[in-house]
Amino acid sequence: MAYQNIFTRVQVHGGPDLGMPQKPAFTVLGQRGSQTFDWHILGRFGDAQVGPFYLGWTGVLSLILGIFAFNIMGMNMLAQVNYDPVQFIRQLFWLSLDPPRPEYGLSFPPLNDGGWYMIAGFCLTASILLFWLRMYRRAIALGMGTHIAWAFAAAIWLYLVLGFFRPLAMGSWSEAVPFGIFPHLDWTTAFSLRYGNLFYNPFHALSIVFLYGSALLFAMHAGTILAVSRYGGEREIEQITDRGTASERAALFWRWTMGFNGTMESVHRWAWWFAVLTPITGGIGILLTGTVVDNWYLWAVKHGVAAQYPLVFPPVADPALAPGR
Amino acid sequence: MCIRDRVSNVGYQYLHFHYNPAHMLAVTFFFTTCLALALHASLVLSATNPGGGQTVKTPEHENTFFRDTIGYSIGTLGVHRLGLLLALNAVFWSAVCIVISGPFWTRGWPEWWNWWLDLPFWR
Repeated sequence: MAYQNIFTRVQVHGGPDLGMPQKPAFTVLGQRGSQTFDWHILGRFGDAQVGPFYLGWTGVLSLILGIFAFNIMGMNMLAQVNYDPVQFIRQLFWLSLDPPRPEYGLSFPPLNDGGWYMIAGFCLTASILLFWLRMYRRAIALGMGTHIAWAFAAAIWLYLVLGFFRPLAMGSWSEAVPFGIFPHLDWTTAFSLRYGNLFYNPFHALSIVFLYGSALLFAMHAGTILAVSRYGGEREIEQITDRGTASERAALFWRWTMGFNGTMESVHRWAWWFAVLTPITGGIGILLTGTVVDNWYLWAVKHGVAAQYPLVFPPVADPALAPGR
Repeated sequence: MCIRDRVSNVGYQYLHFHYNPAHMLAVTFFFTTCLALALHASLVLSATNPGGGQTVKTPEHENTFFRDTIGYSIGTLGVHRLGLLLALNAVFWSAVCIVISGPFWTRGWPEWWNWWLDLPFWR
């Protein structure tokens, strides 16, 4: 069988790599740890070394708030099964921490009526934003660009649209997504049905294109790099700054097979934009739903995108439009 | 447009396609592929484009960044193995999720999960 380079067959374990030197820290939190360990199984596939870890104040706060959010969700779900650990595991995928009901609007509801949801959501959001700050600050500390932080910000945009901006625009926290495995899937389907099928939402379509495009690009790029790894193709920074035979063979392969090739640097720009545009377009699509467009199917018919289907069943009153509750 | 109607109709034919376990795996792999691609592309771009007046950084900087932030760096070779694995799994489980809908399971997908609720251990 040809050389595929899927697993590392011989591992060399030297001393621990403690990382690039950094400026002296003022506090113990700002110091990188010195503990590492090698894990053989990891080394078969990637790098064997785990650690050293770096905490930092943003990391510690992010961790604490993340644990708060996780525990609030878990304790609420545990309460729903009367603190029975067996039933907790049995029903885990069905359990949910729900947002407040619509009558509370944008006010703060009682704890057991969505209040815990609001607190968990706040802790989770704060934890995520602090982790963003951590990614940004570490890149600066190492003298690198901040591309990871900005890609992360694109994902945070989608998260905030779902749980903050759109509920705010709709005037009710009840619009937010519940915390739970099956419940958030139920929310997604109900959302699509309520607004006339999200498949007709052009931004949803764009988001899917970029998501599938990301998978295609990563398969093509990763396959190419593994294929030229015998020429050192995985040393991408070196290939970008001083193009070698690995880059040239990879480029020729795509030029011959599809008539166009990226370069060792530009393929990462294509990849970055595809990955980043997935949540950006998705977030735009969600934000427009219910605020600007009430029914994506009717929107598509109006703009000549979808066919008008004949009415075969008598019209049904939309329960969402029924007065009062 | 026809493809969208078809996707939508098949979805509702099985009541709620999100409960299809292979669909769940496929979506998870697609999202993870997108995440990993963003991280890999960003890391390479941030090492080679550090900003005006600064020198290009090295794979050791890349390793240090991920060890500092998440405690583990998979390395320059490993990340491409991971990317290929994630991307191929995304399309593989997508194919599985649609091919089992009909030949293997004809009821609603939410119902499929009853085997878990009915395990002898806790029923």
